Amino acid sequence: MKASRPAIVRHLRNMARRGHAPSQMLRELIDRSGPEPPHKLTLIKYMREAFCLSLQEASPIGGWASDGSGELDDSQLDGFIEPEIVEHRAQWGSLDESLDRQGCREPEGLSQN
Amino acid sequence: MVEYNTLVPSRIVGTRVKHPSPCLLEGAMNCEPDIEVATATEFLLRNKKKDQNFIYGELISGGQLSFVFENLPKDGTGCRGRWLFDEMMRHFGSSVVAIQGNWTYGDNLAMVNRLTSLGAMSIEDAAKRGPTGKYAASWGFAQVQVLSQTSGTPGNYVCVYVLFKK
Repeated sequence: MKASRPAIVRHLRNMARRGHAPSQMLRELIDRSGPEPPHKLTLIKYMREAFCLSLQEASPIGGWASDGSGELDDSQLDGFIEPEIVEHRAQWGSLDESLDRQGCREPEGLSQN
Repeated sequence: MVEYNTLVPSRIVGTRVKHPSPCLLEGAMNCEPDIEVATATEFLLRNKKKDQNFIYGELISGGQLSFVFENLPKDGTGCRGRWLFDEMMRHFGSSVVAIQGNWTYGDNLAMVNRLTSLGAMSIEDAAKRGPTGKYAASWGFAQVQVLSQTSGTPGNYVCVYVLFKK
């Protein structure tokens, strides 16, 4: 059975806390999504929601593919995304504990993460 | 600006008088555009016939437009980048104050590296020559500001971040 969206987001945050790289998290997302691979925009959306990333910060995910066919390989992707996840740690780090379902908010309104 | 708070049925795209189907306009193959999100701050247009062909844009603080575009594989089919960009710009209209170029891969980065190698051109001029630079200029955003997050050296930029302004 597919995990719920909040569960997936929590799982991604837990992976980050355990030191997993963004490319590992994305593979996990893909593996958990069932037979139909998730759209790139879906991957970007989950990572943004989990780690409070702006579209600019998450955009390198568009150049990566789990099978290695993307322009960015794992280490390149991790090099772009990992520092941003660390940078936003104060924002996402306590969200699960506070049961803040809103998280760092969807991209609505004139706000920038 | 008109704000759509619900999903816009795809048939609306095809019946606009001002913006007919890109298939009819430019002879694009395999392009069936579908506006999935169209709010004051978000725009998502996906090609129903080609999974990796879409544009997603967000209007963020200060009127900066941040977006991602894709048309893969590069087989000459799908909704064209120019047309997708124009649809996004028509949607956001005058709310756009500047357009971000966030290039960590893709044609824009390749163009900048090709044109700046051996000191042939400044990064600012090279940024204008890529697809996004041309699209932005056609909407009057012809000034380029290279942002400090840009990393690398001429011909070997790892990432390029720019703002196109009027």
